[in-house]
Amino acid sequence: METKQGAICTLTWTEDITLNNVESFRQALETLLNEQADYLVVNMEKVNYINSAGLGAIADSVMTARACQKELVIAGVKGSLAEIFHIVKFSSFIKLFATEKEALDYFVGE
Amino acid sequence: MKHTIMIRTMTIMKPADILKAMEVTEELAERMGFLPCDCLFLRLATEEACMNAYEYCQKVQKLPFRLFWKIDEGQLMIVVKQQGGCFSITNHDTVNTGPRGRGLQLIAHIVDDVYVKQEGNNVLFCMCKCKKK
Repeated sequence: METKQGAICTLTWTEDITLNNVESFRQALETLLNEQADYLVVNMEKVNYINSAGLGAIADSVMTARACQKELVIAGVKGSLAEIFHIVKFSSFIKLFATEKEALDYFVGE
Repeated sequence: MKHTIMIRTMTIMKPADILKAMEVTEELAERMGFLPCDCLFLRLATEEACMNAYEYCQKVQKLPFRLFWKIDEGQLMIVVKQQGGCFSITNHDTVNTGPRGRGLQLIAHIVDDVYVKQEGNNVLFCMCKCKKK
């Protein structure tokens, strides 16, 4: 599901990411990257589980966004998802937020 | 007192089998009394180990491979047994901005011990997790 708020576009992903649906997740990220917005948010508040292929899709999208002078951040990072992101050191190159509001505030400069 | 070791096994031929194996791990871990977060992470370790084996075995046309769960008191051991030679499991715990190469990094953080051993024409990828007392 995507929502637009000015120059900010949000993808809300609500399922755990396994080998079963990682391709759909990858495609959803690709669609988000193709949006006209420069600021992109992936809200993963409802996600508890993500495999390495899903993590790879996020990393790849963040780097692709950067190459296109866009910024992609992740919101809803908490619990087991935060722990998985910590293991793979995502915070060292991706902006992570506990809520979507924090991510939107980051983009509007609050 | 009699000491019992429980072993369960499964043949992995297709991705649906991996999903089933993930369920088995979670079910066994829950039954052993692991914390809910540990059960979820053990499920993740199972998916990562199986996907690595599946991709390799599919590439070299050596499917299926086998998965074993061994429960010994408070320890759960998950073993992936595939045909082929030994491989390195050096874990470079560094920042990876690329699309691949995080499976082993995850596994090494989830389980207490991970190692590979050769057994005839097979290679065994072993993951051990002990229940916290």
